[in-house]
Amino acid sequence: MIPTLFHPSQKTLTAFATSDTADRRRVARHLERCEDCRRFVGFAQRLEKSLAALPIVETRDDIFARAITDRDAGVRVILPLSDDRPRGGRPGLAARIGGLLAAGLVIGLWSTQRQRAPEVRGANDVLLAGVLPALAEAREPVSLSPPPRHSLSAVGATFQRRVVDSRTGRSSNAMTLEFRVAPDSAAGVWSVTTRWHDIADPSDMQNARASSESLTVNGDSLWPTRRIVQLTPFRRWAGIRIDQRFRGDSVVGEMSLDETDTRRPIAHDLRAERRRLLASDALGIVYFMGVPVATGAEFDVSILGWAVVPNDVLVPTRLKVIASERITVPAGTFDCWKIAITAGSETHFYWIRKTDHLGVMMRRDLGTGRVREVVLVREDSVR
Amino acid sequence: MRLFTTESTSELDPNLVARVRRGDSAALTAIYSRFGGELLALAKRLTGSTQEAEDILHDLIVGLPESMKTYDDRGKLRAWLKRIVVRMSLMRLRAARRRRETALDDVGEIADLAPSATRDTAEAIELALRRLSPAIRTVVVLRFVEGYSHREIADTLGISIEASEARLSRGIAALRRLLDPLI
Repeated sequence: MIPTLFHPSQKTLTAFATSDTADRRRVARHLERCEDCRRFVGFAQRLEKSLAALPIVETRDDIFARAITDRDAGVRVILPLSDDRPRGGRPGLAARIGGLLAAGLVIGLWSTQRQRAPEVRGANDVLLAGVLPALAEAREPVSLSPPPRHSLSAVGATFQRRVVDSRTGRSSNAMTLEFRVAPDSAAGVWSVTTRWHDIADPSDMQNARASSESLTVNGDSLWPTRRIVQLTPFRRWAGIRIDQRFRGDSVVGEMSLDETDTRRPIAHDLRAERRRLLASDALGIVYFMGVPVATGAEFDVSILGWAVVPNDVLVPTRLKVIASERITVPAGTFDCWKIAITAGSETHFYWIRKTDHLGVMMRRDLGTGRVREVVLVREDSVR
Repeated sequence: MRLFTTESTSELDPNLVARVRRGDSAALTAIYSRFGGELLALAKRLTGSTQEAEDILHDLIVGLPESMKTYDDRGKLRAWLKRIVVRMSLMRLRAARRRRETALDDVGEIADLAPSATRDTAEAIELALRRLSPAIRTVVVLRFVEGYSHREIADTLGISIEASEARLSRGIAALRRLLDPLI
């Protein structure tokens, strides 16, 4: 008999509660006298019942749509059809090594797949959000030519992002982007800043009411030296800050959530992207400045995301000049080059002004007759 | 173990498996509609991350036609799918452990768990599960939600039966501290 003062262990009580023990009589006798242990067993039994009755969760159609799109684009995933670790007890050395190799192989394949098919989140979904598709099933692009040499000039411009229903002509979800490029105090370095405000629908911007980004880049190569992104608020938090520093061929830095102690490190090797890195999709607005352009010209870039989670590091993207068109935006009518932007299986369009190669309009088809546009509203002087 | 015994496949097209093997998207839609919610819930509870769970469901659908070539028609489809999701979740947990990561999605939810009149019990339980360590959460979910025996958990996780039992009792004790007033 178990005296009242000597309680069964929690493991024994758990086994009793879940009918996993053969020693039920002794525990039952103890429970008759001990309220504490009765409560533990009662809770364990209620917990088991509650957990077994948890509801299933709602799936989202876009998960399935993304999977089918990826399959159609040739993406394949090897599923783990058997356990990748030995069964029972402690594995022997050979078994452990074998297990690790198998796990490494499968994880490696998955990892490769994730890199080939990232969903654009974070910065790429927050900033221009018309330059890149929401889903970028990105493939390794073929490098067609040496990286272009850029020649930035000072820009102050205001853009409006909006969703237009082509059937009714009505626009919604408007927000304003202030964009500015100016020489930095350091020689050859340029400062690029963006600020989103007047956001009609924060859910379109991960709940942000305001978003800003500042970058410093080399004016010839657009290779970055520093990038800071801030959203306020961000999803359910007061705000988020992404601080990226570029050291040699790497990006390092930190993500932090406002008013919390949460920090996450950023560290990625960018060596392979040395010749085509675009540190932000915002740079797309001035990417073609100083770059010779003609119909048929193609450019490969890898656009850097926030680089906090593995599927938001780099999005290989191809820019192809496909036509010459005259377009009208609120800032005026311009002769433009039309650029097709392809990331993964989706293609969107972008127009740059022929006179200075400044981006004046981006357009993304959202389906069902809706188009998301970012259009130049006005130009401001930059001191 | 419940997941092997509760499946009814009477409403499923008898040719469904063959169609999935051919990559028929309508058949994949049927699989997703029928099992997607359960599989997503399982992955979410095991990984503690909505983002990871959605990635797992995505990868499952992408890889299903090729993988289904090894599926034995006589088996139970739901149980087979769930076993794969469990393995995928465990692999992601191990990979995250190596990277010492916390899912960005979950940072805030974990921080603000507190019983309240506006949060229903199921939601509080889900949030409480996320507060457990992955090692303990996995055992609690497999034992209580999925109905695995300790032997099956031990085999799945590569641990001893005693370790599985110990983790379950630690999980119950931890959840009791969080949920006792609620359930």
